[in-house]
Amino acid sequence: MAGILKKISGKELAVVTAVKDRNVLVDFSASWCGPCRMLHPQLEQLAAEMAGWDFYEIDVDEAQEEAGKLGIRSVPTMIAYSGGREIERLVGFRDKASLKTQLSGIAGK
Amino acid sequence: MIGLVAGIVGQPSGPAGRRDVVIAGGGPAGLTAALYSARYRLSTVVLEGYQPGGQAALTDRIDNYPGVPGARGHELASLMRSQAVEAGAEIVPARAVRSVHSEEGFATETDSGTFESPVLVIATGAAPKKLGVPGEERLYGRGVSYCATCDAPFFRGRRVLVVGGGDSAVKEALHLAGYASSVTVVHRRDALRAEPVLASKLLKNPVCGVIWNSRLLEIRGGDGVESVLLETPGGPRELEMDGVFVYVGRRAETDPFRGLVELGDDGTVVTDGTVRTSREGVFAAGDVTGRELRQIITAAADGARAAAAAYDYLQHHPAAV
Repeated sequence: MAGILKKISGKELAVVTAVKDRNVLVDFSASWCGPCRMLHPQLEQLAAEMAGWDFYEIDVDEAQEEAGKLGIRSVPTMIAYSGGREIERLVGFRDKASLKTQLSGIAGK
Repeated sequence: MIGLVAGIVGQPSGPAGRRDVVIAGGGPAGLTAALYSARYRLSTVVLEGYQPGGQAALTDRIDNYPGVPGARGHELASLMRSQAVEAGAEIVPARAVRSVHSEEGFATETDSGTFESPVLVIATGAAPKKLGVPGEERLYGRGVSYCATCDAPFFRGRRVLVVGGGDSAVKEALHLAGYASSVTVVHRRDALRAEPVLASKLLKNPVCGVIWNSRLLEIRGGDGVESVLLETPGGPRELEMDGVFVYVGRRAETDPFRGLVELGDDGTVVTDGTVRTSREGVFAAGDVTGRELRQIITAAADGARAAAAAYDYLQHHPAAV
């Protein structure tokens, strides 16, 4: 089944990132951020193409506490988790091709 | 007569293929070139890249575009985009990787195939320059930012430093003043380069202060920005800080066109003062050129001129079509 980019709340963050047997990418995004709007379709396409990864999007305005705890001060920030651990943090817009290369490179790190 | 109609020369099987005019870049320069070019009835494609609307779309409020006071950057950019599309231009999300001279005129390779055209308009704009100081890269996204429009809300009630003294630095400092408890501008000269109306707004703003004749040497912090080290006329000074916004100029995005057209030392496309480049059939518009004033209106004006020059060129070089 092709994956989708799923919108989650701050409360769901701990649950989805604790999954041990999957790679997870969470995009911390905001409605007022232009680059976030550009990133969204790239992630939608990646979610459909990269079977080994789960993709989530979280609105920092609705998850201020979680974003604050994670030290996020820029949107978009993407955090990659593997085995329930943060393994990489990507800040700023990236196109689909370079994201795919980066994610393939860090999977299983 | 020239057969400048899409479908006669073009084989639009998917987006890649042949057009009369290929425009690299989807900011105000590229979109205006597209609007004019489409209205000249030239088959026109815009390679939008990954920043639709260009830098304009990332600017919060624009007060110097005539006729649209207080425009929101992304709204203005999106209006320009839909106007170009309505006029008949195609806009594709491809990003130019390399343009070379070919038998057909120019072949522009992108991540979505190759586009061929007798005329190429370079309107790829510019991206923010980095300072290259310790801590800048490590703390990017953890307090270091190049986009106040994007990140200002994270600094509500916090202290931020803005580096630079030009229009962008001052505009963004004023935007940050709506959120931060203090905005400190550090500038290496003793006067702001920004237009006087912006500069005086900044100097009058109670939240904002300027440290003159000084440079940022280092950004310090663990998980986030905690302080900055400045070189001031009175010696080194460390200031506690939560965020650093860098506006020290821009670097032209001309790597794909190296070898095709002459570039200046700063990487901008050298033009003859209007839109003509060192190579016939290639025109340049907007911030990618080395001209003094880099505004939305000058970019748009360049775009219109580039399209007119393209039309003129095609009329005088029918063999190119």
